[in-house]
Amino acid sequence: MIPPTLFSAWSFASLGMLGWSAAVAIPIAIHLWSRRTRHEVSWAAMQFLLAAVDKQSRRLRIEQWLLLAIRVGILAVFALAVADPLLSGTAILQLMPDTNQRHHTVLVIDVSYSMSARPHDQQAGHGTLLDVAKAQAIAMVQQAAQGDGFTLVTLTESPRAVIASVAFERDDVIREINGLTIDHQSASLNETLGEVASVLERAERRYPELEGSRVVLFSDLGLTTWEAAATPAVRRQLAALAEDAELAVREIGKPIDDNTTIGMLTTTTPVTPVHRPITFEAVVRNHSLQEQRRRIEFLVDGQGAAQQALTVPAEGNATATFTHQFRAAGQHLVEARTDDDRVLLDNHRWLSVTTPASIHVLCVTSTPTASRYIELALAPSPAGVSDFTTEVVSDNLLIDTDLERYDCVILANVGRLGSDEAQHLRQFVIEGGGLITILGDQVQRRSYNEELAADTSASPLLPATLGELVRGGPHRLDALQYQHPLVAAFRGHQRAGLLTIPVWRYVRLQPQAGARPALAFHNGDPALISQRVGRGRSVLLATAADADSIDRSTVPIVPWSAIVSWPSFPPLLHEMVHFSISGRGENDNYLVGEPWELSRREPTMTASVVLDPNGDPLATSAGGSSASLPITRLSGVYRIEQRTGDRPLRQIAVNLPVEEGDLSRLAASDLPAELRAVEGSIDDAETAGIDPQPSQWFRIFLGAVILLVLVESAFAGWLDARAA
Amino acid sequence: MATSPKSLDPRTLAKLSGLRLRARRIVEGYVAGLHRSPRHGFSIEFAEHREYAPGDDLRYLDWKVFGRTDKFYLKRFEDETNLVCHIVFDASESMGFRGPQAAISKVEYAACLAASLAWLVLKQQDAVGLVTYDQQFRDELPPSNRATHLHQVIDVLERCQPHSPTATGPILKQLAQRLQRRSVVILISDLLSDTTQLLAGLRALHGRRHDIGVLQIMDPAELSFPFDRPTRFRGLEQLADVVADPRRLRAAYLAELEHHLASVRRACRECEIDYCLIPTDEPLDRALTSFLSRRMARASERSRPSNS
Repeated sequence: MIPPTLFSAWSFASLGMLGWSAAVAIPIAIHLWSRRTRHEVSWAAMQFLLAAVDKQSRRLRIEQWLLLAIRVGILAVFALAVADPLLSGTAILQLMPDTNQRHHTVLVIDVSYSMSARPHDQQAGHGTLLDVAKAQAIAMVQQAAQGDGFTLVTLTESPRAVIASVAFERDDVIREINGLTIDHQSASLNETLGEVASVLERAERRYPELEGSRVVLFSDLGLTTWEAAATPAVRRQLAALAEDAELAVREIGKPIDDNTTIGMLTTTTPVTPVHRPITFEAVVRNHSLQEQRRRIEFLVDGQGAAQQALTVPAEGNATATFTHQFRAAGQHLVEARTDDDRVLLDNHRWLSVTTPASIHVLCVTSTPTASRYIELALAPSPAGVSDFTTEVVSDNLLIDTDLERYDCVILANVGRLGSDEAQHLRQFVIEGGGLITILGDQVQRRSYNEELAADTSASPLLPATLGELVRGGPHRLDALQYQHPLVAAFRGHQRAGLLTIPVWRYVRLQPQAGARPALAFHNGDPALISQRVGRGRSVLLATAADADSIDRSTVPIVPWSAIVSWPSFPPLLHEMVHFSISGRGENDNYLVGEPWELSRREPTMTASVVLDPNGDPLATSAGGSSASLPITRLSGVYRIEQRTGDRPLRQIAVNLPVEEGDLSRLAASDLPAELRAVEGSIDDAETAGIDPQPSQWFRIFLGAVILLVLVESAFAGWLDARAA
Repeated sequence: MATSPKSLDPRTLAKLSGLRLRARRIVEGYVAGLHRSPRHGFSIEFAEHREYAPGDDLRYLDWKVFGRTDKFYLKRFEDETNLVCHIVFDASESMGFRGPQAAISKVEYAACLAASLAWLVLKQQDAVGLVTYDQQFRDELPPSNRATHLHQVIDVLERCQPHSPTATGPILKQLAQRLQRRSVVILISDLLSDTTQLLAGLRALHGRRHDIGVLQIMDPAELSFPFDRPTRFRGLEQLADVVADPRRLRAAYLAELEHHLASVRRACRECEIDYCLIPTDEPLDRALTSFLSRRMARASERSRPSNS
């Protein structure tokens, strides 16, 4: 028997098309009109006609009503078909067996950013896929049997049990569902299923009277999330869940194949003096199978600065470049945006850049002369404008120096470093500072290896351990095809003298894991090597950059190198400084979900408040030397403001992970066997303003129309033949 | 039967004004088509045989009897010279019906027939009377054989205005009681009345040993029910209207009609009544010939058993 609520579970994707059902009045009107026909005949042989009517009237009336019913039925069913009828997920659940039991249903709703897609093209007021999912979940709750309980889990990168303990009050559940918002990040099936398992376990322990459990996932089946369904780990999780609960997946909306995203917004010099122009690159990714034309707009500090039109090849990228010189030193925000499409979130990307008046470099030396050429190289023209402001301190003063004031620290032929000094430097680099280590005859390799290159729990500060001194030479350099950003500027400029730097002595370097050489000697030994440490970069030069480093063990004595006198030294040093401090820019640029920290050394931070992109304050929690923030869930610009004022102290750009921009879906047929794809849609799909899941009902109703037309033709033909 | 002249087609007759003119045309046409004397049509009922005597008209010699007995007998007819013919004319509302394809109404057609018959009877020097009726007797002309009587017959027929329901059966019963003398009764009607009463009336007339002829006048539309589109049939004679799709009702209607006609035919056969169904699109001379020929044929049949 069909449950009564099944009838209320119908909805229509195109409710307005039901207006066509008024057409059923047409055959009725024709029928009535024909009865009121103006064709009249005076008839004498009425007694025979009356007798005939008397005998035939019942049969004729039945035939007429039957024919009329068929014709009305054709129009009514046609109107139903074009209104695209849908059967709600609730009804589907009701069709599940054993409805007398009290059930616990775990509602798992995908809130990853692909669920922010709008099913219709840029129509104001229309809902997102999440709205559809919420409407379906709410309808499921509303029509659940008395005594059924619900829990609610979000399907996201950081899944949350929004309702962790079984709730039996429908209003509470509905309120929580309504409160769900899009997480601007992708989703982890693995993590979410783990959370679901915890929720199920808690529910079984606390409410043993709930005999049946169901897990219903509402998701767009985005491939970036659901391709993990085939992995052994997820399969094991699903198998374990299937033992305790019935699993079902409700695919939300139709596949969207015309999305474009701004996949990247970068600059090669995130910390650039204000007097230097900066070039930005924005990469637009086309996820569709057709070439797309997109307009990209660059905004600097909220003001439009440039526009470009791009043709993005199918499933390809196009890059727009934009060069800008800032007028004032400080932090600036650059935004790239493209035309709106189905997914609005990924049409924006922000980049926070810092343009100081000058880059502050601290040169630490053991001998006063060791820094002379470095200072000269960083400011080759005393009268001209220099990118750098260099200060020199003796190595014994390093521990007392506040490194936060500097962007880069250069260790120039420093003899040895203590553990405190090493920790001091490590903290500086981890927070984004640049460290350049230049060796020399004063360097005590053992000390370096122990304090800076040791593989301790913390990341090694040096990209390589120091080996023996290599003699001989001169040793020629190899740029390794200029692939490293440190030497990329020399590509095509062989006359700059990079490869002809004469080197007679160098320390053989044993690269750390993750280290990347920029220059090498012809025998393959690294000459210049870098490594990321925290947010900062560490660069190590294998030879000396001063005129005082000489090898006194040979006769005649031999200098380590003549690099300081070589024309390529100043640009190479500039590149080294710029590269080493590139981590500074990352301090203000994160991805959604990435933990970020605010340094408490900034004097203003203790009296500040962090506002999310919606302007809502975020709570910070004190922890050690920094203030930790909860994991970000929204993309956009976060502002750190003084509590007493509204001028932002810092602006932090938080961007989307680009992988979710690919809206490809996993076919429902490819779901693991444990997951059952549920067809149909929900009552509120229309109010959410979306295209519901394409259903078979439309075809079934159209088939019924065709069948009725055939029946009508046959029946009318039979009646005519009999009358003839 | 000879082909009817076009001038006797109902459509042509409809163009003639005046029943006298129409009747004359019919009778002339009828006479022109005969090879035998019109007197035979209204010869009276066979009575007996008598032996031939010189001077007797040889036409009445019964050759079959002569063949069997070698004796000459003449057939004698009852009331040979005093035939009285009563024309009973239905003037009810249903007789006013004229179908979509008909040239004249049933009552017009019937009047032509009645006038023609009266003419023929009077031409034989016999007496003819006329009774018109609907629910009751309307006009009655007592039988007369004067030549001027025809004018009165035609006047009465022309005055007929069909507007009331019919009661043919009761009228025939009353007529049977009124007519004391055996006579020829020609009923001209569409017989659209209660069949049981109608048959009872005919039997009552038959019981009085009248020589009865029934001319049932029907419109072709009534016989074929040729309507196609939904129609409101407005009932005559105070019968209810019917809205119907004629295509769906045709078979049932024709079955009912056929049942009625069969009943009438069977009753007429049982009562030895000369019955003729005449559609109003049939040429009138042909209708007249058909009717009178049938009477002659039956008269000969009646004489045959008595000879044997």
